[in-house]
Amino acid sequence: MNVGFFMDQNNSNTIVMNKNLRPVTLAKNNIKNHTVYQFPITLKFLLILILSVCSQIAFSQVADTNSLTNRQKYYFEVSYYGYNLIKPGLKANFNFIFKQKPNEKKTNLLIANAHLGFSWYPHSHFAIFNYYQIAYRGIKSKNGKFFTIALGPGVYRSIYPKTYKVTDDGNVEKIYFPGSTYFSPALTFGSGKELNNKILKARFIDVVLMFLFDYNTNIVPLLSIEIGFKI
Amino acid sequence: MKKIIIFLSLTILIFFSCKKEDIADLSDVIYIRHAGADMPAYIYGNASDKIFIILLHGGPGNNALDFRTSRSAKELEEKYAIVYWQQRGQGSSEGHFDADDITIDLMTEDLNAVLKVLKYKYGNESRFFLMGHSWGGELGTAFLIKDDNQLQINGWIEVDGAHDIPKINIEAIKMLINVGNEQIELNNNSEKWQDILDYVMQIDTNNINNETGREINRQSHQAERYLLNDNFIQKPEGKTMQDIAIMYQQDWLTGIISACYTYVYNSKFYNEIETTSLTGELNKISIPCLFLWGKYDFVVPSQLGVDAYNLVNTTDKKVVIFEKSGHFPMENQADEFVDNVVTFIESYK
Repeated sequence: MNVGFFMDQNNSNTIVMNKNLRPVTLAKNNIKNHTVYQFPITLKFLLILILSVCSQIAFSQVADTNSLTNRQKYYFEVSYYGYNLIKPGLKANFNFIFKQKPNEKKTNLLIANAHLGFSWYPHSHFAIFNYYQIAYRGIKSKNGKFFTIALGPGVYRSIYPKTYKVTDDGNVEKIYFPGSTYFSPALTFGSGKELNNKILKARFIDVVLMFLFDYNTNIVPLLSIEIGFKI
Repeated sequence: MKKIIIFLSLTILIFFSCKKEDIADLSDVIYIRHAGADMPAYIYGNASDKIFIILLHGGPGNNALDFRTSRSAKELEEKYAIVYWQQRGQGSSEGHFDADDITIDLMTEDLNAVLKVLKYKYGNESRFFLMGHSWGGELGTAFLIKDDNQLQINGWIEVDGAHDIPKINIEAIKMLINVGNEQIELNNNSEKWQDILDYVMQIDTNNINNETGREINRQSHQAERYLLNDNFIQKPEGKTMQDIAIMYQQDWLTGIISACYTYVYNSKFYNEIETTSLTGELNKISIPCLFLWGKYDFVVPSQLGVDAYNLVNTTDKKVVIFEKSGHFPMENQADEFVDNVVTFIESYK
């Protein structure tokens, strides 16, 4: 799907289809004196994913959560969080089950969760991040295995070591608490298994795709793997 | 829960623990904030004499730490400190800025900011040598010819530097034809060389656009691969575990994607790079210069090094053409490369 937003310089608001990713003059498309402004492909991808998750939530059966005690509605998860697979980090998640619908084969859950973690970029810098997701989780009644899909907004901050700023008049100043902050929606796909253990109630492995907006001049994805336990 | 809290506390303590700086074996990272960019400079090596080699990496879009995986870098770090500066929008450089604002001039100001910060941190008595490879040669030359910038620098080391891309395209075509014919006569990869010749022979050298320039660059890399396989270019040494650790330190995915947005898809800046010719301004450079080139560098032919040697306005200059090297003499002939750099720095430190 390549939808472009087309701003007619004389008469605004015309929608056109275009395959190019960069602003181009429509001379190439046999229309002169117009410019096509298009969504970056990552934004299109994100939009499709948001719609997918929303539809998943919207069409899932409305659940009765009365069977859960308050203690069962809330739980924590802790995990190793490997940015770009291998750069280490830790993460803690707080989860709240707000919909549950059990049936013979599986239990469907809708979960709201909050994530707080950090990544370590060896001999470079740290990053802390905080994101909030709505997750759908389906747990098989037979063996307790589950899969998860989640999406939500967040904030990511790189924390630099010693940082210096050169001012307009050429002086050097040390910056305290230096870093850079990005809007960072995160998409998660994962699977796991419930355990018969009083402390570690489930194990899981998730793939987390986070997008940092306004990173340098555009958007970059961060691909991470999360391995953890429900406690 | 108590165990988890203890574990987390210990982990954080280990991560944030400090160690005393050893100036003879420096391992430091600082960030420089300038005009919206937060650019890391990784500083490794022996800073006992406060001699710093500031590396201007290639690309644009490459990573300064790539150079650190060569034996040349390891040997130079034993004598001097090397500043692996990640230019804006590249490697692990971060920040928020507009792609339209990027110009060569802005990047020379970035380099000025790096120098100011290094002097602030290590003292005004510090001495600096610039080493620009490939695109870094264009950036370094642009820096040196501007205002009084060169007064801050003890010496300029240009390694296969691209200070005149229009000229590079023309010289690369000449070289591909000459070497291609020689290789066909020697019956080395004849069909492949013939393909290259067929392509370059039909180029109108008076009208080379960016797209053709990209293709010449691709063919040039291909030609170097053929010569490497036929042992005309000395094979680089294999990577060590230390090199793997250096590569691990880099942030490949983020760096590549960010650099694509910043440079490859940034037609305004890309066009500036491709059309900039600094040959006519080389006479403004009057500091000691060392030009190091690979004989079989088709990407930036050695004729540019010879021209630069002839045109800079100093008698303290030397040009070296490495007989068994391509675009990366620091990897192909590490010993000779290091010898020349050390001799140069020792002469002008």
